[in-house]
Order: sequence, then C-alpha cells, then structure tokens
Amino acid sequence: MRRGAARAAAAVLLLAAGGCAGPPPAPALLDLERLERRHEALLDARRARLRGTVAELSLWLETSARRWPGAHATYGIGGPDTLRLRVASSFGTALDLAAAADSLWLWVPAERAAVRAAAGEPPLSLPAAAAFAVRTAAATWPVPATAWRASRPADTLTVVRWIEAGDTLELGVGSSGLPRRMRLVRSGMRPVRVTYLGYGPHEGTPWPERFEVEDEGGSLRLSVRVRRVWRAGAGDAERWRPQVPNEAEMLDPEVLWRRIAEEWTP
Amino acid sequence: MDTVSGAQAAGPRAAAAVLLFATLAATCDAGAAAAAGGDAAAPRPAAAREFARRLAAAGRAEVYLTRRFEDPLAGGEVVMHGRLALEPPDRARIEFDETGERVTLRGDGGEWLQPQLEQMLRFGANGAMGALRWWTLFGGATGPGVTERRAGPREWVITMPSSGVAGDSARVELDAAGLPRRIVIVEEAGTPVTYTLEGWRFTKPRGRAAFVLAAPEGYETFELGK
Repeated sequence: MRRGAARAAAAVLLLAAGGCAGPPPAPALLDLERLERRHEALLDARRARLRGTVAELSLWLETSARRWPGAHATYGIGGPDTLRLRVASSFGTALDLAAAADSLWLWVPAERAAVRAAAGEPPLSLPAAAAFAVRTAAATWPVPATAWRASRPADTLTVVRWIEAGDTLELGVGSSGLPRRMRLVRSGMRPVRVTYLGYGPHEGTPWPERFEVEDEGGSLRLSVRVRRVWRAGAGDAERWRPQVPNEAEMLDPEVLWRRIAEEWTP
Repeated sequence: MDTVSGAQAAGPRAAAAVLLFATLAATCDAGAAAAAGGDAAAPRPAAAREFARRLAAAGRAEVYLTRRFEDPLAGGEVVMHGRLALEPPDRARIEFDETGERVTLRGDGGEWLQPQLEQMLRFGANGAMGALRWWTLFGGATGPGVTERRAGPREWVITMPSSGVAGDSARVELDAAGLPRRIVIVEEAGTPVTYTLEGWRFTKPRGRAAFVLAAPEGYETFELGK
C-alpha cells in the first residue's frame, strides 16, 4: 500500500516536472507524416460519406442573455456546401434552414414566414456559411499539405494553421488523426471555435457525435449531440430545401430575426 | 426555471391540434364546452358522436396510436408509436414509446416531458390554445366557420377557421363501431400526417392528477408563457 502510494507520488512529481519543462517539443517529422496520413485517410472517409448523410440530434443553445430549452433536430448533408437543418419535435417543425452555396432558405411554420437570401446578399457570405456548416457537422476541415509542415504542438494536439479566403483557420488534431478543435478568425467578427467532444461510428468511420460551436466573446454557444446518423441517398435537389407554401410571407431577413427575437423575449 | 414565450409553444399548439380526438372528451360535458367557449346546445360533429357517447358512459378513453409521415429529408417514412388517454372535461395525455416523451394538456395548460433533452416544458392555458380551439368545436358546438363534410361512408373532413397554426383541418375515418380509427392532418408545408388509432378502451376516470407531469430530478424546467 505504502509502496503504491510512493509510486503514485513519484509519478505525480514526474508529471509535474514535465509540466515545468516548457512547451512540449514539436512532433518529429516521421510522427507528423504519420499523423497527416491518418488525418487525411479519415477525412477522405468522412468526405466519401458526406452526400446523403442524415442525423438526428439534440441541440442546446446558450446566449449571453439566457439558456434556451433544448430541441430535437435533423440535419441532412447534400454535399460539401449544402446542408439542411430542421428543428422539430414529435408534433411539428419549429424552423427549417437550408444553406447552399447559392442560397439560404429559412422557413418558420409557426410564423408562416420564410426568408430567402441569395449568394452575395449581405449580411451573409453564403458559400462560406454553407461550407462552414457542413465542415462543422462532418469535421471535414481541409488542411493544406503546407500547413502540416508548420504545425505546432498544443497540449496533446497538433495544431495546423492556414488561411482560406481571408479567414484564418486553426485545427487541433488528436493523435488519432481526428479533429478535436477548430478556430476560425475572420476580420470584423469574433473568432468562432468548434470543439469536438466525441465521435461515433458512421458506416465504420468516426463521425462527430458531440460538438460545441461558440464565439470567443461568450455571446453564443451551441451544443450538439448526434443521437443517430445514417445515409439516406442523395435524393433530388428539392430534398435539401424546405417546402415553403406559396402563401408564406416572404420576409426581409432582418424583419424575421427581429420578429423571432420579440417572440422569444420573456 | 426559465420562461419562454411564443415560438417554443408552437410545438404544443400543433400537438394540441393533433390531439383532436383528445378534445372529443369534452363532448360529454356541457359545462366544459361552455367553459371552452362552445355552445352546448349546438349539434356535435357526426364524427364524434359515438365516441362521445362511450366516453360519457365510462369517464376515460385510452387508445394506442401510430403516427406516420413521409420525410424526404430523413429519406423515408417516419413512424412513432404511443398511447393517448382522455378524460372529461378537458384532459389529454399522450406518450411516445420511441422518444419517451409525455405531453399533458388541460384547460389550464400542461406539461411536455422530453427525456432525451432531460427537460420539461410547462405551458399555460394560452400555450394550449390549439387544443382549446378543438375543445370549442367538440365541446358541443360547431362554432363559427367550422365545417364538417362527409367524405365517405365512415369518413368526415372537419375544418376549422384558419388560425395561422398547423392542423386547421382533419380527415377522420371511423371504424365499424363508430370510433375514430384514422385521422389525417395536413401539417406545415402540406405534409400529411396520419394517426392510426387502435384498441379503444373505455374505463373509469383517474382524475386530474393523471394529467399533470412532474420533472424527474436533474431535469431542467422551462415555462412557455402563460
């Protein structure tokens, strides 16, 4: 018993000494190449499963003002920049959002109101928003080969950094080759962080099962837990867009945001 | 405990519309009909008569239900199973097997227990607005703007005045005993949702307590308006 305690104390001391020894050394080149290959193989596997993947999930949203009730949702991925997210319960749909490279649809049945925004219309950068949503859900962050050469260790992760369309992206990759955290810095907005807390199997490939999206200002945090994921075939283009009735009121995005905010204000 | 108004209540409101035959319970109680704004002297919908008679005699109705709809996003038909219990004057309870969800509706509001989210939503009388609209109808009054059209030997289409809430009309099919066996409600964006009702049982009432839910320990409770 006493010997065991001594060993534990020694281990703690060794760990503490390691903790005082400065930043961990950069990964050896061979390790890095192995990690890159592992990451690329898993990334390719997830990309191959993108189209037609559907997941049932639970969502929790916290804003700086309050914590909202959790909700059930379903997302469907139509491609690298096509995602539909429907927040619904056993009794109907609360909102239906479809983001694609060329358009964004938001349908709120309770309001009988919809918004359609086309690519290039402010304030959204649609191609980036749709791709961001898909990459977040599937953890398909495309790391350029050059970024691996300049990687750095951080805690137990290897962090790669690259610039894409003016955005700075930092991806923390675990030794398994799976993304563990991602940070996006864009001029004029708070950095956004995605933390992958767990992966589960999807057709034999690890798929994000629990993740959080938050802004570093602490004004918004979305927690996601995937309960079931499957592939349902790609289907036609209509599948990735809400069926908005003809009589729906088409709103200016700002009007709908304001209306929703008023409705949700206690 | 948090309070949320409006939009989150859309679910229970739609649920309330879906529970249209839950509201048939009111047909037994003229007092409840009046309380719900109905006219007790007005003719009761034909689709509800036999059900109302049996419920009046027993005090409680229970039925197994299956909810089905085509979901292009999910890539097929979505099927859920559950149970519905009804008691006069204004009580309904629905339970879903697949999600473990429980919803209760009363004249004074209700609760919605969501085990997968470890939370309970509590809504007041306004939150149950949709149900109350159907109470008005099945509480013994056809009400202004409400129509009932025979669509077959044992089939009716009941339409409420548009309220901006899903479930303004329902197609009701009765079994050989005159009890509802299939209800089709067109939800948002024209999606028909079919409820199949099987194994009607009429028993003694259990009272209000059976229609009030309490959140288990560790669950978060949210108030959805008044």
